[in-house]
Amino acid sequence: MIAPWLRLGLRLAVAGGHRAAGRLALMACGVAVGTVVLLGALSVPAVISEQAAREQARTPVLADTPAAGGVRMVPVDDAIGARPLTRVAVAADGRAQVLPPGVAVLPAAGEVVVSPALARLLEVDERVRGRFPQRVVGTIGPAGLMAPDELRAYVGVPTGQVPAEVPPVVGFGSAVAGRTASTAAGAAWADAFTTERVMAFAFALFLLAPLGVFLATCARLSAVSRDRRLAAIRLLGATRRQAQLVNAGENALVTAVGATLGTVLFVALRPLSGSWHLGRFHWYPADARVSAPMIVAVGVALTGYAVLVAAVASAPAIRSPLAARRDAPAAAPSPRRLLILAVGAVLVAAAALAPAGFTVRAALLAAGVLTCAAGLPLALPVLTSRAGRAFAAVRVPVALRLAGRRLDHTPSVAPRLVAGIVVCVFVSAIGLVAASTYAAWTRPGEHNGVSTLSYDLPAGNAALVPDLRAQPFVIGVAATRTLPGVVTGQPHPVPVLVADCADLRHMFTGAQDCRDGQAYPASIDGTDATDTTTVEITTGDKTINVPVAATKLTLQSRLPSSRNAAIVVTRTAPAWQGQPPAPDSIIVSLHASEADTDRLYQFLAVHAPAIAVQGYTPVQRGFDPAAMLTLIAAGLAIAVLLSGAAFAAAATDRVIERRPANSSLAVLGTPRRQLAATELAFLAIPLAMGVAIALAAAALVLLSAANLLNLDPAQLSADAAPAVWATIAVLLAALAVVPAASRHRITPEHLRRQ
Amino acid sequence: MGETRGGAAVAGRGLRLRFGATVALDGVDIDVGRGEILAVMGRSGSGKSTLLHVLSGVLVPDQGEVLFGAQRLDTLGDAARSRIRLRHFGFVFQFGDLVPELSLRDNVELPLRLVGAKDAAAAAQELLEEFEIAAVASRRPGQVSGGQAQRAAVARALVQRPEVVFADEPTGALDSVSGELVLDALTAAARRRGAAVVVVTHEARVAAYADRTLLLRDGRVEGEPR
Repeated sequence: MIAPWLRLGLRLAVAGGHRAAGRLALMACGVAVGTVVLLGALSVPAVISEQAAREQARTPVLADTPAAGGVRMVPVDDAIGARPLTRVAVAADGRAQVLPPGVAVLPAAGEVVVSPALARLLEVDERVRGRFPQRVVGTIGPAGLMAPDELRAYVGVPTGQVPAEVPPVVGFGSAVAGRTASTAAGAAWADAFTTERVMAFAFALFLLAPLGVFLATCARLSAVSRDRRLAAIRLLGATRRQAQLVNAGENALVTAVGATLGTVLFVALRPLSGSWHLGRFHWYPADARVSAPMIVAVGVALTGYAVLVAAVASAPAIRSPLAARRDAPAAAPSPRRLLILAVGAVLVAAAALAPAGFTVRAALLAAGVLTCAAGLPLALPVLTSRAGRAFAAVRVPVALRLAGRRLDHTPSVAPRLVAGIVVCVFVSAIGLVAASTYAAWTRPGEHNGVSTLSYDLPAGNAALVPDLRAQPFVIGVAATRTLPGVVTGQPHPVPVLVADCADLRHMFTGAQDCRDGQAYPASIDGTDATDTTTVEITTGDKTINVPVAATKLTLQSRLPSSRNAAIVVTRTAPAWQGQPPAPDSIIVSLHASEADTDRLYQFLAVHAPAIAVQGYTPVQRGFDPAAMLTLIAAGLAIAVLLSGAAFAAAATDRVIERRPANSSLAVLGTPRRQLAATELAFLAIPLAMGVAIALAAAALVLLSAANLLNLDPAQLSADAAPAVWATIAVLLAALAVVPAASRHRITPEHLRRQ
Repeated sequence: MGETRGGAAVAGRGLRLRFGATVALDGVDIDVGRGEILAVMGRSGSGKSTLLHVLSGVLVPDQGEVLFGAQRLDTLGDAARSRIRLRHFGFVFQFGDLVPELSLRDNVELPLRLVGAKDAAAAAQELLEEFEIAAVASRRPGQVSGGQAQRAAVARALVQRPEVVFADEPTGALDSVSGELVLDALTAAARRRGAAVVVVTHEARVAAYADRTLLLRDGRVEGEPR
C-alpha cells in the first residue's frame, strides 16, 4: 500500500507556503535547465547522423575509370577566416549533367554556385569577393548543405584544371544503384564524425557534471526542516520505506514538473537553434530530433536522479528519527576519507616520477586526476570539521568560534554546499591549461622572429612556382618531385626537393649548412638519406648526373607534414641547367597572418581554383584551436556559473533554515552583524579550504603534466590564472548572498520552532 | 516470557540500553495496564524519554523484552515495529511535532489517511471539536498558539483509537493554563477510549493526572511514589 505515502509526499510538495514554493520553483527550474541540456546533448547524435546522411547524399559516385568528358569534380577544404569552406571545382563539358543535391545548375568555367551563407559574405566582405572572382549563377538549397550557415561553393573551372586521373561523376549518394559513393582523388570529403563534433557532444555532456551538482543542491534545499518532517512521520509509524516514499513523492512531483517545463522549452527553442553555434558546430533545427521515448527516458532519469539524491541525503534522518528531532551532532567523519585524495596525489606524482613509458605515465596521470576529483569532496568534511574544532578551541572572534562549533557539529553540511564548486575549480584549472596547451601545440612555427605557415600544393602546372615566388606575401617556395633514377647502380625512384637555401631555412630547421648551387643527401623528419655521391635521375627525355655533397642535411619540418625527399637539389644547381623539373607538389611558406593567408587563397582562386591546400590553416577540420578553446572555455564558464548559482541557492537556503536558531541568539542580544558574520564564516571557511586544496591538487597535476609533456610550468600557471580569478569572483559574488539573507526579523514562529 | 502481566497493554522486562559509555536504562521492569495512565518522572538524563522510546518500539533495547500484549516488539524488524506504531500507538511530543506544511485538520487526519481509513475526515472533525480547535483547523501549526498546536497533536495521537498513547513532556512548552487544557483533553479522551497512556514528565502537576507514577534515576526504577 504505497499510495497514501506517495500522496502525502505530493501533498507536502504543494502545501509548504511561499518558502517551500520558492524551493520548489528553484528545483523545477534546475530540472528544466537540466532537461534542455540533456535533450540538447541527446539531439547531437541525431544531428550528426542527419549530417552524415546529407554528406553522403552529396558525395559524388565516380565512374570506374578516368575518362574525358562528363562532369568531373575536385572538392577542396578551405577556410575563410575562422570558418571552414568547401570549394568544389567543377569541370563540365556541357553534355548531359548530373546535379548535386540542392544545386539547380552546374557552373561553367568562370561561374560559381554558392551556399546562402557564402552569398551573404560575398555581399559584405571585400576579401571574400577576392576569393571568388567568378560570377555567381545560383545558390545551394538546404538539401545540399549540412547546416544553414555552411560555406560551400561549386566553382566552375576549365576542364584542363582538373587532373586527368579524376573520373567523371555518374551520380550522387545512393542515387546510383549498386554503386558505392567514393571520394575523388586527392580530395578530403568531410567526415561526419569530426573531432569538433565529438567535442561538441562531449561539451554537452561536460555540462551535465555541474548540472548534476546543481540538481543535487536543489534536491537538498530545506534539508533540515525536511529531515525533521520525515523524522516526525517516522515516529508517527512510517517504516523507512514509507518515509522514503513520502520523500520520493515530494521530489518526483517537482522533478516531473521541471522535466515537462524543460521539454516544452526545448521544443520551443529548437526552431531558433538554426542560428546557434556550438563552437563551429551548427545544424538545421529539423535535424535536432529527440524521439518521444528518449524524452520520456530523460524525464524518468532526471526524476530518478533527484529522488535518489533526496533518498540518500535523508537516509540518516529516516534511519535515526530521534537524532534528527534533537538536531543531534553527526558522527565525526572518518579520517579514512582522506585516503582517496592521497591515493590520487600519489598517482599524479607517480605519473611524473615513475620510470615507465609515456602510455603508462599518461594512464597514471588520468587515473590520478579522476581520483583527486572524487577525493576532494570526500576529504573536505574531515578537514573542515578539524578546522572547526581548532577554531573553537583557540582565542578567535566569537563569530569564528560559533562557525567552528557548527562545522564540528554538522561536519557534512557546509562541505556539501561547497563540494560542487571545489571540484569545478579543480577541473577548470586543468581544463583551461589543457585548452591552452592544445592551442600552443597548434600555433604556427617560429623562425628568425617570423611566424611562418607552410602549405603543400599539388602542382597542376609548373608555372605556379615562379608565379608564387613573385608574390610579395610569399617568403619561400620549394618543389618536390619523385623522378626515376639510378642510385648506387640500381634503378630507384628518387624523391627530390628543389628549393633555394633561404626557402629551406624558412621551412625546416637544420638547413643552416645549405649552400645554393649544391645538391645534398637529405633526411627529412627522420627519413633515410641517400648514401651515395652521385645520383642519376631522368627528367623528361634527359638523364642527368647529380653530384651529391658529402655533407648530409638533416632537416626537421617546422610544422607537421608528409614531405619526403632523399636528396635536396638547390634550384640553382648546375645539374638543372636553369630548368628544374615540373613539381609534383609545391611547398609555400608565408608569414603567419590572416591577411597573407587570404592573399594566398585569393591568388589560388584566380590561378588554380581546383588546387587542394594541405598543411596549417587557420581552420583545419577537426583541429581548430579557436573552436576547441571556445568549447572548453564556454563549458568551464557555464560550469563555474552553475556551481556558483547552486552554491548561492544552497547558502541562502541554509541561512533561512538557520533563522529560528539565530532568532534565539538575537533574543539573547547577539548583534545581527555577529550572526551574519557567523553564517559567512560557516561557509567561507570550508570554501576557502576547499578551493585551496583544489588548487593545490590542480598544481600537482599541472606539474606532473608539465613533466610528462615537456611543458613550461610557469606558462601553465599563467594559463590557469584566469580560471582561478574568474572562480574567485563568482564565489565572492555567491558569498555576498549570505549577509543579505542573514538579515531578518524575529518572528514568533521562528522562536516557537526553536 | 511472551505476555504482559495481568493483561497489561505494554510492558518492559529487564530493559537495558547504553549510548556509548552512557547507561540510559539499567534493568527497568515496567507494566502499563489497559486504560491506565502512568506517569514516568525523574530528573533530566534519568532515562525517561529513552524508556518511552523503547516501550513504543522507536528504539530497541540492548537487553530485555518489550511486550505489546502478547507480542514482543524488541525482536521485530523496523518495518513491523513501525506498522504497530502507526496502527496501535499514539504519540505526543513536547513540541507537537506536527508537520508544519499541513493544516491542523490535515495533521489530525494524517494517521488515518496513511492506513487508508475511509472515515478520516469525520473522525478528525470529532476530535477537533472535542478539543475546541475546529475553528482554527484550517490553519498551519505555525499560525496558531502553542496550546492549540499541542491539542492538535493530542488529537492526532488519539484519532486512530490507539491502545497506548506515549506522551513525552506534552506540556513542557506550555503555560500552566494551556498545559492543563492539554492534559484534561488527553486523559479524558484516553479514558473514554480505553487507551493506556504513558506520560513522561518532570512536573508533579502532570503526574497528578496519572493513576500511577514511576520514578527513574540513572536509568533505574527508584520507586513508585503513588
